[in-house]
Amino acid sequence: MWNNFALRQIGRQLTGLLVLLFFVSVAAFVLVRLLPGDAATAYLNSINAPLTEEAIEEVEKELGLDAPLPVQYGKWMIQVFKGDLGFSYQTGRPVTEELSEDLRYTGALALTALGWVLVLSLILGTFSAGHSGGAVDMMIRIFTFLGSAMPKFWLGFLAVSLFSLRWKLLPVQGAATWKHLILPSLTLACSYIATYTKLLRNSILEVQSSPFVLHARSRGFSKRFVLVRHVIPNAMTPVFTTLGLHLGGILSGSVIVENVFAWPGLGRMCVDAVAARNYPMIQGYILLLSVIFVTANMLCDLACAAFHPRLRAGGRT
Amino acid sequence: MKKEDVILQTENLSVSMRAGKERIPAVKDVTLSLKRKGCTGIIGESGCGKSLTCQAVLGLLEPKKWTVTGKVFLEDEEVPITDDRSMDRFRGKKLAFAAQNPMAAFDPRMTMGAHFLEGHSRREWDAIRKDAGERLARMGICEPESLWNRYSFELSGGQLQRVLIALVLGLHPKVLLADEPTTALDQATEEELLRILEDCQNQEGISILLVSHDLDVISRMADTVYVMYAGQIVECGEKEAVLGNPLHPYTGGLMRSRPGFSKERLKAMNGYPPRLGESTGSGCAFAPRCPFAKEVCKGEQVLREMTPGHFSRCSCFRGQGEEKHG
Repeated sequence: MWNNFALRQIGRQLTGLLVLLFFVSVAAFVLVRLLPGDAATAYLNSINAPLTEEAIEEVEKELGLDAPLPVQYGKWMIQVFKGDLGFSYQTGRPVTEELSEDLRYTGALALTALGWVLVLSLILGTFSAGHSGGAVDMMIRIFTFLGSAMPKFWLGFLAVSLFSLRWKLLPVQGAATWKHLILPSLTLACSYIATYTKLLRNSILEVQSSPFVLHARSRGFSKRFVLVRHVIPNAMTPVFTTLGLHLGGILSGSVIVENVFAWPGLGRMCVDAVAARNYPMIQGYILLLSVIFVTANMLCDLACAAFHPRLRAGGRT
Repeated sequence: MKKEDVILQTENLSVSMRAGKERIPAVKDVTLSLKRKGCTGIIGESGCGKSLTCQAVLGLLEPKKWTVTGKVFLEDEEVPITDDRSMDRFRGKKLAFAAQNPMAAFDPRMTMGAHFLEGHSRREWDAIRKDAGERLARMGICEPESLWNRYSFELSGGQLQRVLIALVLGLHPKVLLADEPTTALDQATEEELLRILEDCQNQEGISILLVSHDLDVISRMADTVYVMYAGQIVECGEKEAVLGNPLHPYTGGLMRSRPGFSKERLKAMNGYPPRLGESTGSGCAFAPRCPFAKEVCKGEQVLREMTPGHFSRCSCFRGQGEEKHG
């Protein structure tokens, strides 16, 4: 039953992924070309070459931008299926190479942030639920309110000015050591920690009032045992469901954080690429992110099913 | 009733709900006893404090929400009902609990088997599995092994209720508190469950505190009956006395509300029990619904011994004789 379900689920999601990727590729291709200004001008500007009509035409020819749009799209698609996303206009290196390099940094940042989210919201949420109505609960609730209300760039600057400049505990920016990872990942995680703390707190309180928790207590299990064995696992279900949706947000949210902390990841690369009208890089970035987003969602659904037998039964009650 | 025959005894057990600084009484001075190997029934409409009494005896009421006072004794040992930590020595060991709705009493993430094995070390697993299998087979579940890896949402209410009883009996308790064990069941399954309860009373010597709003269930199982209304015991005594000759108009009303085979129209009682916190004044809580209410009923009513061993909290009703003329 379990294997069948998993296979069906994965099959369905993969088909969906292909359809989605087609639409994303068209949208990415068109939107990038709708940006004001064009690649040839931006390229000539970047190498400080004079902007003559001749030069622009020559660059367009060189980059293959003189062909009609459908032809350009077709050529790009054929490349994509060969696993080649083209060359970056700025550096001349293959886009796949650049992306995979940046992805490592963004991946490290996003995964660390995810770790913070899971660990801290679990601790804070459990604590908050355990002391619901008390002073601790109140403080945690104020924190979650502030955390979700503060914009990331402001929080980032605040963290840098306190931890790096005033107390000199952590580096200001860059990505040289693991210490460089702490502030950006916490900044990225902060609003999600707030959201999940609140979600988990309410979920725990709800599960705690269910009859099976009362019955487990009546069988002589201590409060702590029941909390760990019954309450928290059941309360995690909504966390897993929403996490799938938020993963995309964590990845794209890194654009701002990476710029604040000069983190050499996808987000910063993307901003640079947009400024330079570096079409292959932007398109590659969008494709990559959509693949990651859908895969993450799929993994979350599977994790959810593994966690909750009822969902495995496929809606049977 | 001789003291040594009593296994479970509550003394002035009271429960009140905390609402800000206020305390809203929900269970008032309940003193009841359960005979060794006996069955004491608590009966009353929904919301009159039966389940709360049960949970108070188990010490399962959240102290943040409820204040519990009074004493509970189990075989001359005081049960520390307000000390959650010490209660872990009693719950699931000497006191077992069968919850109202078996569908909701199982963790939806765990198989039936996992519930039986929970909290036991790996070495004991085989023995527990064998013991549970035998118990379930005795309860009329044909293939106990097939239930082992099933989840609660895959089983029927009757199956779940039996698994639940088997689960708590596997703890070898002295007293089983059964809170409305038959409400979720159809007639045939109910009959079977009552037979199971009788078996565990006779064969395993377990005493049962049975809470129900179903007179038939109570009259079949119980030897002693307590009738509760608005958090108070309004009548109590031996089953034959209480159900044979009710001395409180509420008990009489309950009995007349029972569907029978006569052609007479079902006589439901008028009105509803007072809600939690709704003031009933100092007088009889049942007076507003009582067809025999008199001026005296506005004064405080105490539980008085009318005939030996038969108590009632009504000062004007004198049994069926008066009812016929009144």
